[in-house]
Amino acid sequence: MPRIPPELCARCKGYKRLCGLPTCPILERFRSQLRATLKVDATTAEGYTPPSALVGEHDYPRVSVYYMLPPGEGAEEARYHDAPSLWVERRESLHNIIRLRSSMVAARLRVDARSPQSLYDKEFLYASVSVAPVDSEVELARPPTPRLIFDGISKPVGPSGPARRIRVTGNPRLHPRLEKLVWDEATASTAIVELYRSGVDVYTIHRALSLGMLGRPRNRRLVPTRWAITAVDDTISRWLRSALRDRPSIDTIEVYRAEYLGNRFTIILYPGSGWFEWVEVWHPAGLWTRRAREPSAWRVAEDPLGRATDVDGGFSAARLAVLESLYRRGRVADVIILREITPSYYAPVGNWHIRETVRRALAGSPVRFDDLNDAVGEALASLETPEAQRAALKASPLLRGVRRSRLTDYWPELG
Amino acid sequence: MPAETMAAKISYPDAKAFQNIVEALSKIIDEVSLKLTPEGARIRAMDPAKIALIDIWLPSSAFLEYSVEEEVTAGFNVAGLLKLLRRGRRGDRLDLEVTPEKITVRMVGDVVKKYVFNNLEVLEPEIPGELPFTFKVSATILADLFKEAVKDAETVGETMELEAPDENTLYIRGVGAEGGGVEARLTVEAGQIIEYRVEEPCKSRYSIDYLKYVLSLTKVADTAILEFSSNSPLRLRFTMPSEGRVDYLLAPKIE
Repeated sequence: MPRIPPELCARCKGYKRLCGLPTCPILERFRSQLRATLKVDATTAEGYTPPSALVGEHDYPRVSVYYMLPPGEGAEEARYHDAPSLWVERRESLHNIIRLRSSMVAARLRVDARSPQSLYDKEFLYASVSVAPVDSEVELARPPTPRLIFDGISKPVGPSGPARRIRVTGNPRLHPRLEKLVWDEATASTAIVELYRSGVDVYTIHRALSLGMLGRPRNRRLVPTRWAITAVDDTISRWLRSALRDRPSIDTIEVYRAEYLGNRFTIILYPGSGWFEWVEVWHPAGLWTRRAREPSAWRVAEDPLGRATDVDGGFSAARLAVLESLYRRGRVADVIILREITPSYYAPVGNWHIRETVRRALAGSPVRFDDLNDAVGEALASLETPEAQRAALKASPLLRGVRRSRLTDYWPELG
Repeated sequence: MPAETMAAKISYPDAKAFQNIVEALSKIIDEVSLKLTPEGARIRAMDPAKIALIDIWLPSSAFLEYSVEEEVTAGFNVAGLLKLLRRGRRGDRLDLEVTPEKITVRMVGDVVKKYVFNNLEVLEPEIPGELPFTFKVSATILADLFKEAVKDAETVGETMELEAPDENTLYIRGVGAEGGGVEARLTVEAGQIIEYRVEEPCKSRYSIDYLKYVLSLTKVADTAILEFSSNSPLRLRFTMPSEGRVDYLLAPKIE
């Protein structure tokens, strides 16, 4: 394996290909190490899809569409195989999540991303965005390969094989708004926001966009799930930001915390106008930092108009959770999110846990501070080691105490 | 029956120049209001982070036609307006017609393109009369020179430093994260500084991102006036040949 600096891996997380290799060697290692628990010899499987579906990005635009179901399980059990918010609520372990994902069979279809319409007469498309699990049968051309696919942003995909036939025996039930939008001319971003505002959960919107069901009909494409997730998070966030324009700021400093899957989040909200500072600190010997001796840290900053210094799926997910909470309160704030990743986060199971853990953190009650420096000091002190603190300080000028000066500091009457 | 309010009608000679102004606006704010008074057109906007304030003044004499009997405000979405201005061609004229409900934009060239928007209600920033601080340094340089200096500085980092050590020299530096940097030395002697006033030696730093936001204005102005003091806001003034000016006030970076 070529020598790749661990800081690069911590930034890349397997999906930006910063090292320039065609596939991520760390993700590849996972594929071979974590054998799927499910051994399926048969070429047919029956059961409810939770629903669960994924579009891969390999070979784009000739992409693979995966339709997944846990064989032989009832509707309610099946639902739990694709239930991020429930997993977080029940604090499901990393081990169990991998087990849940790997006990689903994935039927794979090759589709040209530029013609999603070719799927419109397939029942499984609608089953994939149903509000409840849908009874289905899949027939594969050969027994599925017992391996797992990880990409860092999406949930892992279990053993898969080429589909010979997918038959939906139950009745897919779509959210009425989605049912309307599939046959509508609205642009994808309008459709995403409309669905979100009608209460459709982001995971269903991810799948609908990914499967080419949203947007101006002639512009529709199948969108690899990993890209669709960030696109949906960013589109909703942009809308939330615009809905919050001209809203007053919060007036105290609030600190929220939560931990799940070896990831600790500290979220600091303080009076301001909508700046975000995202700082990630990876301890050595972790998922992306196996060979590192020192912790690696890096940051993304985003201004109130939504311009970020970098694109990061984790940041997108966390920012969405924070903006949702501010939107409910009708307030704006400046935000610091500190994410500490310990080595116990050993498999990249997707960015859903970031979205959901930050949501849960913000649902709790905050600790209040009078001084931002105290809040930041406390957040830094909660990091496991002094090396991690040093890395975080090095990455973020804001944590070091550098404050943006505003015109109002020099001209207080300016409103 | 009450008389219907007359629509305000103005006609600007160069749609592309107007586009360059709107480009700069679009970088700091998403909705803006254009206030038309009998004397001229004014746009004032502060970015949501309160780091920069832009103040655009186009006197009625800068227009081909200017018929505004009473004050009226046109509120619009900047990205939306920009999108259609980009469709314009060099030499097109820009006509605006504003009523309290609608804004009609016409780009007049070989063909006439007409767009109608709703007149949005946009919250204007409260800007009290006079600046509460003065500038110890004022330098007039060619707008292009300023643009080059910002672009050079950008190659090394996120911060630009201005230093006026004496009455002859102005340094424009890019400050890198690890102490590296790039420096442009401008002097009165060599003619790069057209007018220079230095009351005391000053040095101050500003965000390059925020300076980049207004670089499109260097296309419509010949000169840029840089005014600053140590660790305090910078005022950039772009004066247009066709009359009118844009002031850009930017908070310093304090580290």
